[in-house]
Amino acid sequence: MVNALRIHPKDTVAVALADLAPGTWVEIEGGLEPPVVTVQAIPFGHKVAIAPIKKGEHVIKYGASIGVAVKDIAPGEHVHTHNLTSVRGRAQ
Amino acid sequence: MSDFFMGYPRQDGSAGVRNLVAVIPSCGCALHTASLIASQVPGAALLSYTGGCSETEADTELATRLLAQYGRHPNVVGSIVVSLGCEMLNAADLAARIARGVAPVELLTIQKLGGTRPTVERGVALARQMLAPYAGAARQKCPVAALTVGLECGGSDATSGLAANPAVGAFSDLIVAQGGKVILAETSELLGAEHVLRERAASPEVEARLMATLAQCERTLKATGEDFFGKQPTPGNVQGGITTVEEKALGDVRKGGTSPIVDVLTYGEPPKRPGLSFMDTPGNDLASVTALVAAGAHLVVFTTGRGNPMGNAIAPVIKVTGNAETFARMREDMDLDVSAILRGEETWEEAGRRIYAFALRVASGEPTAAEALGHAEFVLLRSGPIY
Repeated sequence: MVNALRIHPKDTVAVALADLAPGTWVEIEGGLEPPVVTVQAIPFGHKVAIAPIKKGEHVIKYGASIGVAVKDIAPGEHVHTHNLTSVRGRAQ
Repeated sequence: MSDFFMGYPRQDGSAGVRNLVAVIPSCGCALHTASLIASQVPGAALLSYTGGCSETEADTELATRLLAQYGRHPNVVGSIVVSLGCEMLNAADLAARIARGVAPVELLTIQKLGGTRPTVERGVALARQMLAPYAGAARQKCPVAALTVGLECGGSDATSGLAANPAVGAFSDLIVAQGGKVILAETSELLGAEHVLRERAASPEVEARLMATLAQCERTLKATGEDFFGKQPTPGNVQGGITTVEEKALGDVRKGGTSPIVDVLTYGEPPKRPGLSFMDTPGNDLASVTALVAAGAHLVVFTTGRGNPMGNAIAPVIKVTGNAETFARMREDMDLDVSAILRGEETWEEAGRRIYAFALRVASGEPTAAEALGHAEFVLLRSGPIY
């Protein structure tokens, strides 16, 4: 059953459509190859990595950059303020 | 084929969706007296303006212009300006600007009339008098092309960008297809969506003005020396799953649908052309909606994932949420639930048509959740210091 949404084919994150417990298969429409299992809890509406993202790389959602990874992110990890930062929102 | 709503045609060719008397304090010191007038007359709407004195001339001029536009708004059939008598804002000038429209205006000065009580008595009588000809007024068929609709999102979460905003985008395209005017706003919430806006600009000139507006906004915010994080996105946005301003922007921009952006407006500036215009407003919901309505928006469509109950003093505000839990938890504050999109049970286009049908019913008199609860927010942007 579908439990996450990849908005654009280029996206490296999917959005959880329900609260996902650790160890849950991430099921998007059309399937994921290779498959991805959550390694942490992903709350409803939050992002889960569906591809490896290296530190310094752009994180892609809506087919566009939503900021840069501040550490390496493995598939299945929660992507949020602890590992993703804005490139637009800094004072300097 | 032209679609219609049942509205109130005005002498200047516009059409109203409500018949209200605006009670307008010309400074914060007149606010309570004005509120006493508005609270005693059904159909009287208080503009809870708190500026008008000890502020920059630029702020006073902006307020005078926008308050006058409220007085000339098609939903307003009369205005009562309540002045203290010693404020910076020129209340006679404000009344004169309102008088350029088709609806009557009266100026009451608290210090001249002898204080709060006589001013309230006079104001209540005037408000009743202005509303009397509209009691039981019949609505008439008006084309959707006569409508101006403002778009806003507030209390966003991840469902906003996935369900409610794209559904409102489909709604926006339907209004534009009918020849109506739609205003997209909230500059600070579009930083990161420049590539989307560029593609949507109707001309290189509009594209240049759009980019200049966004760049100016980013410079102003950076000049504070503070990071955006915690403001854009807000703490609630972050709890809802939005991490960065870019991510929020890519969700926000979908409210504008797929229509070309035909013009870039300053804060509160009325749109000149049919179609989708962009207005330079802050992401702050109150300051933004207040300006959208000043520009002539008959109604505002407001998407909210986490649940914001706000309305506006003179225009219906329609709440659309993509979050089923919010819809259930804040049922009385919400108008439409589009969470079926996330379950694959409804398309953006279907939800957009549902919003369109509801918006025409609201334009024809059906109250929104915010109206039923008495929400009547009004907050004008103030840029300068208070002296």
